[in-house]
Amino acid sequence: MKRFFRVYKILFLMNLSVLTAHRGAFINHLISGTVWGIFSFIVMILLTYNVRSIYSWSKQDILLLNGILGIILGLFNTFFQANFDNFPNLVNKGKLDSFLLKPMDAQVLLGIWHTKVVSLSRALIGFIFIFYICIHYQISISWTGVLLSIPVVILGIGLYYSIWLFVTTLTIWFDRATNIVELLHSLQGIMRIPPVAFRELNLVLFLVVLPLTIVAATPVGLFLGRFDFGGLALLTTVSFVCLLLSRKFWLLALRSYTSASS
Amino acid sequence: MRYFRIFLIHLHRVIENRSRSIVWTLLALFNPLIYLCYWLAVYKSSGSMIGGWSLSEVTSYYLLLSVAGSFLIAHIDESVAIEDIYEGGLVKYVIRPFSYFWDLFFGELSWRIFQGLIGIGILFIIGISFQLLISFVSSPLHIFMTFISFLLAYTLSFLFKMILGFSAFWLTEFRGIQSSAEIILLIFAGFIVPLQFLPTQIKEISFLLPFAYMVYFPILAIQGRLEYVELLGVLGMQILWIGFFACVYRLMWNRGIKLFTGVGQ
Repeated sequence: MKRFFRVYKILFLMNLSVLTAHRGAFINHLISGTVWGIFSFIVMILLTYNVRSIYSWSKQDILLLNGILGIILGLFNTFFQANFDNFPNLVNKGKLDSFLLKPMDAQVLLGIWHTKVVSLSRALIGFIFIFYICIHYQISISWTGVLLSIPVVILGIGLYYSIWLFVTTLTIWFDRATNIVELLHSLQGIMRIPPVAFRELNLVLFLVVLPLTIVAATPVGLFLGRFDFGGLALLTTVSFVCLLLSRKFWLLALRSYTSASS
Repeated sequence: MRYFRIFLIHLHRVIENRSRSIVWTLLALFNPLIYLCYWLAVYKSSGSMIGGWSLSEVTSYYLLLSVAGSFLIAHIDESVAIEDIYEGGLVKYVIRPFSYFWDLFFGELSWRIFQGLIGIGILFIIGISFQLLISFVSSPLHIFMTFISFLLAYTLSFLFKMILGFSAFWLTEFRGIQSSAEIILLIFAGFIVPLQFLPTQIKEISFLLPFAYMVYFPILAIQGRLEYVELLGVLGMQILWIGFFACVYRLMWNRGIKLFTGVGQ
């Protein structure tokens, strides 16, 4: 563990150096991240413009869900996103070899190689949006609820990480499908909508989208002080099972990796 | 004939990269289908009409949107800006004995047709699986006018994306303007909600902008929601915007090409 933190510190400082060396790119990423962050809230405002509720989810709950999702995505984008975005190209060009040969677990190393501090802006926008929603709709928040929702948000990030690992690992077999990451970006839309919206789907499809729908929906209840033991247990179980399965899937895929020169 | 051959060459490349095409098509399908799930739940929980649209009309709109996105929206801006202008790929086009514009137009058309057909296939499976009904236009004249509207919509979207790509002649960083344009397109072309659902003022603005004529109105046309007069009005607006974009395109090309420098031996 000590070695992991040492390596992480070195990589983090390296990423910060890159950030300060390319200030133009930093500003550009900051603007585009902020614009997309704001856009995601505009989308929800438009979608809920004519809507009062969806079953048990009120308009405020849906907007709050999106605020929390903004924080989750902001943190995920900061620590993991760039690594997953880069992964299909590493496989396609045979550059994964250099990670596999290093004296550290390749999955861990690939996950921490890039840190995109600039994406924290998205999490910040999420905080601002939640603040705005709470004031606008006069929602009272308890500190206990906020504190309880923090570990649940971390669980949600873990679950989201495992979904990304599952899908990007597929590129080891389908190395030309380098645009598969775009597909996952598109799937973010599922997390914006309350899980109840998907209960019209058949069972198989519902089970497929379920992990994504609970990533941000579970913390919302806790945040509002509505403790839902069933939802919490579901998120915990699904997160750990998915993390374990994605690890097994990754190890299985590595056996098929041939590198560019093979 | 020459451009038809160019189209076939590009189509060959598209088929070669079919796994990428499938992913892009799925991408275009996902968001409308997610929004459709959302609206299905909204309608079923509220049980009333929204913005004058019934549940079946909304369902039909999003299903058609998922395919129309693949057919109509060109994705040429990034390759024009990055591969051709920043990386100098434009050099190989300017010395060829055919137009850069038409080469890209037919090249992109091959991607659109292929991805659109995959989209129709997937939509067909979804429609059968979930027994979803899509309302279509039925009279021959209406069908013909809708077809013309689709052709014009593709041309409009293509010209807009070319102009966006040409901004790279002047800008050192293209991504910022691309992101902003993408967001505007998503909102005002009806990718998020049917424009009828927007607040009145935003809706009125969106009807004046070109984006509604790239996707929203062609979908309404194929649904049969537009009368002949309205459809003629849509075609008129499409031609007007194409004319405007063609002038901007010509101006940007003439000025931009003077700034372009291709480095090589």
